[in-house]
This record gives sequence, structure tokens and C-alpha cells, in this order.
Amino acid sequence: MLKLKLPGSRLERIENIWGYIFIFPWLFGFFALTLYPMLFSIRISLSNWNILGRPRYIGFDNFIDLFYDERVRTALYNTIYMAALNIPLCTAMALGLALLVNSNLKCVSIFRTVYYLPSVVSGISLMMVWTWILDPSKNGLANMFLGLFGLGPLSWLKSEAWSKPSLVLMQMFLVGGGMVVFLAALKNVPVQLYESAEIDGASAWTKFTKITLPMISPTMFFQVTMGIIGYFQNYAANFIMTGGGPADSSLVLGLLIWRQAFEWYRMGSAAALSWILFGIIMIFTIIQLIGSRRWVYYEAAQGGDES
Amino acid sequence: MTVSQSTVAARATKPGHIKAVRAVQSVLLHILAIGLGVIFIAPFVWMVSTSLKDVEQLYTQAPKLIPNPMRFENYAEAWNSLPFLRYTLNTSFITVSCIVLEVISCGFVAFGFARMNFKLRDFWFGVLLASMMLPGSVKMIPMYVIWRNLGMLDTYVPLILPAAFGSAFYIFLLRQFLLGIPRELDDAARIDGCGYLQIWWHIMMPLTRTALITVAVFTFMGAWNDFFGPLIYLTSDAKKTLALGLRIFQGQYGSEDHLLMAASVIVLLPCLMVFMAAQRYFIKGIALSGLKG
Repeated sequence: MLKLKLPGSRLERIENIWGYIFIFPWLFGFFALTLYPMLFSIRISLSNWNILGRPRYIGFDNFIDLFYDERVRTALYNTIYMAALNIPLCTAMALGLALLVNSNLKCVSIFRTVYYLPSVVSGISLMMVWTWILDPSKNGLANMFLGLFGLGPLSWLKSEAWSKPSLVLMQMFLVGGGMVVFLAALKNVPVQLYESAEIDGASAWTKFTKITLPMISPTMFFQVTMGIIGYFQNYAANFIMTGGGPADSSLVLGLLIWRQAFEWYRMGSAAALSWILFGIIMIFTIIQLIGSRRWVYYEAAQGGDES
Repeated sequence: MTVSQSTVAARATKPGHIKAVRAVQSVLLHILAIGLGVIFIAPFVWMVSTSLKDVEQLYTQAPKLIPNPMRFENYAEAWNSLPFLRYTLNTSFITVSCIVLEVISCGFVAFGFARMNFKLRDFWFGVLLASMMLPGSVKMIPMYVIWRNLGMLDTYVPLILPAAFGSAFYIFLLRQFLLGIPRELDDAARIDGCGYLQIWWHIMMPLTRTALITVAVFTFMGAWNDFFGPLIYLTSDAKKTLALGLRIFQGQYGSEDHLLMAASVIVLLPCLMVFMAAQRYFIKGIALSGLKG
């Protein structure tokens, strides 16, 4: 930044203009497809609107109605329940897989590919398969597996008690993206740390808890934060595999927003609920941010300069 | 004397002992890795296996991994029960358009952020990073209203056009990649009389091929499997996509799981092929993106 600058030199001005030409597509998209819709959404959330007529301004009535809505409470409970299951389990699974493919395995690239595959190709077709795997009959693959241990059969997606854990179970096989990110972090842990610990006679567990975990904690923090933001809004599996059922047992906030907007045409209420979801995500992200000071370790040399 | 001798002896035996432990550990690790691998692959195998069974094998007999007889006709039956050819063409059109637009626009914007000096660059880059944290669900309803007001419902525009404006995550990924390319290349090109556009297109785009392939693959998966986008915006049957087709199929033939699995295999197959063709590029691409938290 100490570079000597000729103010307003011609070349500088040209570069300035070109810089904005290059970022223009994103800049335009940011204003037209993110900022404007969000502001517009505030206006919708303050009105009563069935999409056909004119929106009628009603102040905070939508928010007040939602506050007393039994369904919203059910959906909020289910959302937090599923996130509380999904985020720790999927983070642990991703880290476990990363540790596994970071160890001295033969044909490690094959394993890496196999663990990564479901997360990349995941979509409605994979959900169809999982619905069939979790079939409540004895012929469902999941029940056959339980049968090997003399357990089951469970009703999985068709039972109020198991619908949420069943969906999380499927999601645990879609953690390949997290695995790759953890793997990159593991490869960045300096080998010398392990070597000196070995000389001091540290056990594998000590090395994991005292070296690996602190060194990858910034990645862990990133993963958990993005997990919270992403998962609280996620409802694809709930929509396709259970439809929120049975008896609203897998109804999450994202799905309720969808229903309000595109099934019941209560646009104002749906927009208001999406802002409530936004607020809930913010609260959990901030809690996580404050909590992270206790467990995220930044190397002194980097001075917390992580991005 | 004896004490030191025994410690020497202990030291001498230690490597052999450690070797044995290491060998056992290694075997256990491989068993764990293979076991997990089988579980991860099982859904795909089960899907193909089910798709080749007949109704009787599906519900009455004890389930077998390898169906006997194999009913390859299931595929033809599933394919012909809905206009799947139409859906495939529609989906391909949307997917290819999205890939082309996304790769070019993200590469373009990333070049600006990585290589140009302009006022407020770091501020805008901060905004870009922050925009990744914004929950997208708030945008869904206003976007629908906006496209509706523009008269774009039941067209592919709402599904394709947003790709022309780049996506924050891919721009970030490509920028990290571009930062690793030596500046001397730009300078040499400038001296040879290249403009910014030429540097971007002729030098930087080819050099970021690995990262661009990553972007292309993820865009492919996103567009091919997109379910809610087409569900919101497409209403006429002739315009629908494979993901929607599969949903319709589930509604109409839901009790015939063998046909549903055959249809699912058909939808999944292109994803698998793209994954296999490109996986060596994009695992590297993601790992290099500097996503260290």
C-alpha cells in the first residue's frame, strides 16, 4: 500500500473502468437477484397477499399470526431437532472419512471416490432409492440389514418417531464435500508436530485431540457455520421423501414456507416466515461465532488472518 | 549393568512389536474402509438390482441381490410410460446453457477480483463473501414474484439467466485459483500488446482449466438435479425436466418400485458418467480452493 501513486493517472483510470467491467455481471446480479429481492421480501412480509390481487399493507400482523401458529412451533421444533442430529453426526462422519482416506490405505483414491460419489450425484433419483431402501416392509434394504442383527423391522419414514432420524441417516451418506474440505485441512497440518509428539511418546488419541483437532479447528468452524446456514433452510428430502409427514413429524420451516407460498398462496405469511427463519439462522450463527472463541485455534503467526 | 542390558534388549525388540501392531492397525483400517465403501455403494447397487426385478421378486420372494430372471424390459417400460425423451432434451438444454454461462461469467468476474486494481475492490469482495452467508430462502418468494411480473413464468429464463451473473462460491473458488498464477504472465502479455480481455480469454481461462472443470461439474449436477426451480417455474408438461418427470412417475407408478428404480437409474446415469469422467479434476479443484476456514 506504500506504492507511489500518481493520482488520476490515465492508466489507473482505465484499469479502474476495466475492473468494474469485469465484476459487472456479479455486481448486477447482486443488486438485481439478491439485494432487491430481499428488500422486496420485506415489503411482501408486511402485507396480506394471495398473489392474484394487490398486496394489502397490514404491518406486522403476519409475524404476530405466525407467533401464535401451532404449525410454526412444530416446524421450528422439527428444524432444530434435525439440525441438532444432522450437524454433529455429519461433521463427525465427514471428519472420520477424511481421517480414513488420509491414512495409509491401499488404493486410497478409489475409497475417496466412493465416499465422495453420493454427495455429488445426490438428487431426486438418489432420494427415490433411499425411500425404497427405507421401505417399511421386510424387503427394504435397511430392514434386511437390521434383520441380520435380529432387530426391526422399523417403519422408518412412515413412523412419527423415526421420520427425522431416517432423513438424517440418509444425509450422513452425503458428506463427501465436507470430507474433501477436511482432507485438505488435514494435509496442511505440519508433519513435524506429529513427529515431535511421537518422540515424546504421545498416543494416537493424544495426537488427535492435542494436534489434529486444534489445527483443523478453523475448518471445523467453517464447516459447522456453513452447515447451520445450509441445513436450517434445507427441505428437499422432507419434501420429496416424506412430504413433511407422517402427522407433520418431519415438517421443517423451509417446507412450511414452501407450502404457505405455493400451496396456500399466502405470500405475505410465507415471506414473513422466511425472515423468521433468517433470524433463527442468524441467532445460531452468532452463538456459534461466540462459542468458537473457546475452541477455534488460530496459529499466532497467522494472526487470525483466516478468510 | 543388567538393567541397561535389559533396556537395550527391550529397545531391540520394540521395532518388531511396533511393526506387528502397525500391521494389525492397517488391516483393521482397510476392513473399516471397505465396509464403509460397501455401505456407500449399496444404494447404487440396490437401485440397479431392483430395477431388473419383476413384481413378484420385489414383494413376495425373499429379496436377492442378483435378480433371476433379469427384466431389462423394465427400462423400456419406464422410458415409454412418460415423455422421458422430451424431459431429457429439456433438461440437457437447461443444463448446457447454465454450464456455459456460469463458467464464462464466473471466470470473467474472478479475473477482475484476482487481477485488476480498482476502487473498492476489497470492499466488493467482502460483500461477495458475505453474500455466501445470506440464507437463500428469503429470496425464493420475491424472485418468483419478480419473474412473474416480467412474464417469465413457464419459460426457461428464470432457470438459466441467473447463471449469467455468476455465483459467489464459484467466483471465490476461481479467484483463489487465479491468485496462484504468476503475475509475470500478465506483464509479459501486456508488453506483447494484449488487452485485459485477451489476457483473460487467451491466458487465464486456459490456465484455470482444472478449476473451471470443477465449476462446470458442480453446475451440471446442480442444474440436472434441480427440482424446486422447475417445480416453481414450469407448468406446461412439454417443458418439464427429468427431476420433475421422476416425481410425476413416482405419483403415477409409486407402487411399482422396480419401474421407479429403472427411471431413477436413467436420470442418475449421466451424473455418474460426468462424475467418473471429471472426478480427478474436481477433487483437486476443491482441495486447492483454499477452503481452510
